[in-house]
Amino acid sequence: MTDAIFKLLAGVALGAAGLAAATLLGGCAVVPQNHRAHFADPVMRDADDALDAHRKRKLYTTREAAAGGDGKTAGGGCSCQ
Amino acid sequence: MRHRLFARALFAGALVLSFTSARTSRADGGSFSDAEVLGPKPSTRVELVQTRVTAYEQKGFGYQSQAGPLSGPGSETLHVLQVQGEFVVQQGERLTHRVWVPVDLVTSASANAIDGYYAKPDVISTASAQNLAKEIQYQLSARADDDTTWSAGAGVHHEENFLSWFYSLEYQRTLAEKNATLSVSWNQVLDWFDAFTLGGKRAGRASRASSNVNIGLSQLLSPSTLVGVSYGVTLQRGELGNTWNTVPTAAGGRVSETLPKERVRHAASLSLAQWLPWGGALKLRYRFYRDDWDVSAHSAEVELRQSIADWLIVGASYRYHHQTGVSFFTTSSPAGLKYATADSDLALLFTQALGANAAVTLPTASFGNLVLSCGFEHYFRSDALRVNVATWATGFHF
Repeated sequence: MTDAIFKLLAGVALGAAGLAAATLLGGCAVVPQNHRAHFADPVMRDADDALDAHRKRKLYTTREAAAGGDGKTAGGGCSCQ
Repeated sequence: MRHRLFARALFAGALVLSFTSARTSRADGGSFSDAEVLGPKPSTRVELVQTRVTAYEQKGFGYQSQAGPLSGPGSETLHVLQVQGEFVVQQGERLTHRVWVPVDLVTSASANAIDGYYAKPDVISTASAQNLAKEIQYQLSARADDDTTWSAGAGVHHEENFLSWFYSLEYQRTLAEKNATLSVSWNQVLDWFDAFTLGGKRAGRASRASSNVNIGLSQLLSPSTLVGVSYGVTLQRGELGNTWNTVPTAAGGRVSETLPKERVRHAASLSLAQWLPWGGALKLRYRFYRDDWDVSAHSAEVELRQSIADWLIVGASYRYHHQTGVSFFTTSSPAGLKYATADSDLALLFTQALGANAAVTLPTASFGNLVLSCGFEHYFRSDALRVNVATWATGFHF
């Protein structure tokens, strides 16, 4: 159990370090608000709405050992793990 | 003469402007707010109502299934009809309520042993032929200030042999003049379900808990480029199988699948969305996964979206996934193994998925935009498992 918690905390620390690095790198770019029109274009909006994201998660998490791991419920009735 | 006319026109224009500005200025010199000019917004309003229906058709074989020869792979034939509903309500300027209800109707041959070697098992009783899974989730998002949002969620999942509870908490903050968004979330899932013997008889209850932390950051790189990075770690403890999977033995029989009681899973992903000048968008995503059952995986996904008209968008996607198998995977288990599984999902494999979709947006007089979308996805694995997915959604975006 202690080993698992250590791995968990190490994982969180690793993720935080990676994100901090990404923040520092990304912080170099600043796009003014009046130059963000393209992000409002419907093609840029995420096609994966919440319901479609659930559909995809269902397809992958119930058929791949490596899918999921994000704490979301996969749903049952399908030999889910 | 021409100069006089120009001066008069200029004076008249100035008068009109001063009259217009006087109508939007207070006597004390302040200006009217949007609410004063347009009237107050309703305190509670519906933002989104949508439904999605999805049908899955699966064909394939796996050694964990008893629906076949005693030592050979059994059928993994499966059909699922999934209905989802989503309601999003905005309360005031700060609170957002989201209710989501998915219902799955599942038929499964893989859980149903059809050979006569054992007594016909009641693995999940009628669920072997048909199983109804219901779930409801509620999420409340509260905007603390212009940059900070807190969200809390809870849900429950129920089906014949399975109960699950779900809780979540998320913190989201925009940074650098809203050029970047940082999010941190915690998810907790508790599953409580029936355990079964090799012959399919109920053997009490089993449980497992999954604790997960995710950290994500998205960042605008240019006026047309958005990138994102995220990392998640999950600790699972308890019964991590479904208890009815079996493993063929070297002696020619079958034993129940046995899995470790603990699993630590790591997943990291990178994403990029690029607006294209011809009215399109390119989206790329890569995900790396690693856990302490010796599974490593790489997944890459590409999606292209194209606006054909103001009201029509089409898209196509491709996904490739490769994973190593767990160290205790076997299709012919020798006696005395501590852990053994023949579950095809836990084997070395690669998968591909091809998808296409279209969305039509139609303005309505009273209900905002009506969005109709449909899609098809073909999923196929290196072990010959095939899944066809057809999906249809209808929504009102207010």
